[in-house]
Amino acid sequence: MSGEVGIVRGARDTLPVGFALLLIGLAWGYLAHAVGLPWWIAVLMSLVVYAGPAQFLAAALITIGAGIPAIVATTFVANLRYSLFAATLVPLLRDAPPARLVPLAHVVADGSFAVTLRHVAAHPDGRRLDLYLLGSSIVGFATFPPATLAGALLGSSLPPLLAYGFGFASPAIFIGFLVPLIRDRVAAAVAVLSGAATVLGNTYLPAGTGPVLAIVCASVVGGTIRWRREPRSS
Amino acid sequence: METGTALVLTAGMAGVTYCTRLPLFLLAIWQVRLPLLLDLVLGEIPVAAFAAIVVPGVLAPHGHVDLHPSNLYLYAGLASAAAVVVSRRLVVTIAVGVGLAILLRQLFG
Repeated sequence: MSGEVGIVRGARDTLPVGFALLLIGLAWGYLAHAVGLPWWIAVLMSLVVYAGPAQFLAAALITIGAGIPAIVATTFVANLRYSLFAATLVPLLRDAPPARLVPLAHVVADGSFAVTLRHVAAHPDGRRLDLYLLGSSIVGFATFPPATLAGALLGSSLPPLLAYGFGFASPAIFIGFLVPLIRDRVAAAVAVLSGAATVLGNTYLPAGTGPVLAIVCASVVGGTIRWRREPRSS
Repeated sequence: METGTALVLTAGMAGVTYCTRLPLFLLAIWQVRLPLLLDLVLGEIPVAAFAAIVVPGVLAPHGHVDLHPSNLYLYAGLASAAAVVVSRRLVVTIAVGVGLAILLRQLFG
């Protein structure tokens, strides 16, 4: 895969996610307006934080009057899953120029991660995945921040009916990524365990910690089951 | 929220988020190879991560578990899952899910 092909391919494969990000960005801009954030702060967050779920969480915390340290700490914990994503991508990025990884780390997000892994599953011997990830992120930054601007400026003139529907864009796209991955019983068990633990964690644990703990626990259980089944010479 | 406060908040959120993204990424620079068990655990992260977004998004859209038939996201979730199985296309999955959520809200909201 030559450089340009990799970028174009990553961008093209991300277009459906871009569609979802448009709706999520609109919903985020709408929410930011509702909790009293200036429109340009909403857009700036989408550019420099670039983490939809954490931004929604921050808005929820603002409405209950949480202070900045609490919101920042919650953001850190909630986004620790990006560390898990980064670790998952590491074996695939060995041929990337090291200097490029430092800025590229910023684009590791739920959508780009999902698209990249889907690409790897279909092309296991693909090269220069950093270019693919870069192309994917171009679509992410071309959709999420501008849609945030539109949502924040539209604000209360965005019909609540549409805002309700756009709220389903995130579950919908990740249903699209999740369902094809449930190929065996271990995967199904990991999904059920992670989903149930997240719901429980969101109910009983401090904000943001539930999903991260659930992802780690479910992955350790699933990975260990597969490890015990591995044929080993001993 | 005041502009200065909002800026500090944004900077703080951006800083800690980058700190979650960069460090493990750098393992690729150092060509670290992981033991098999860890590799297998990392292999389960996508399923676990997507389930952690989907399950609460559908079953608990307002923060608490809502299995009542009036939770319209339940139907939208089932329809999205059916759409991905049938079409294998993400755009169709989103269009069906979001479209059905809007339609049901309009009809029964």
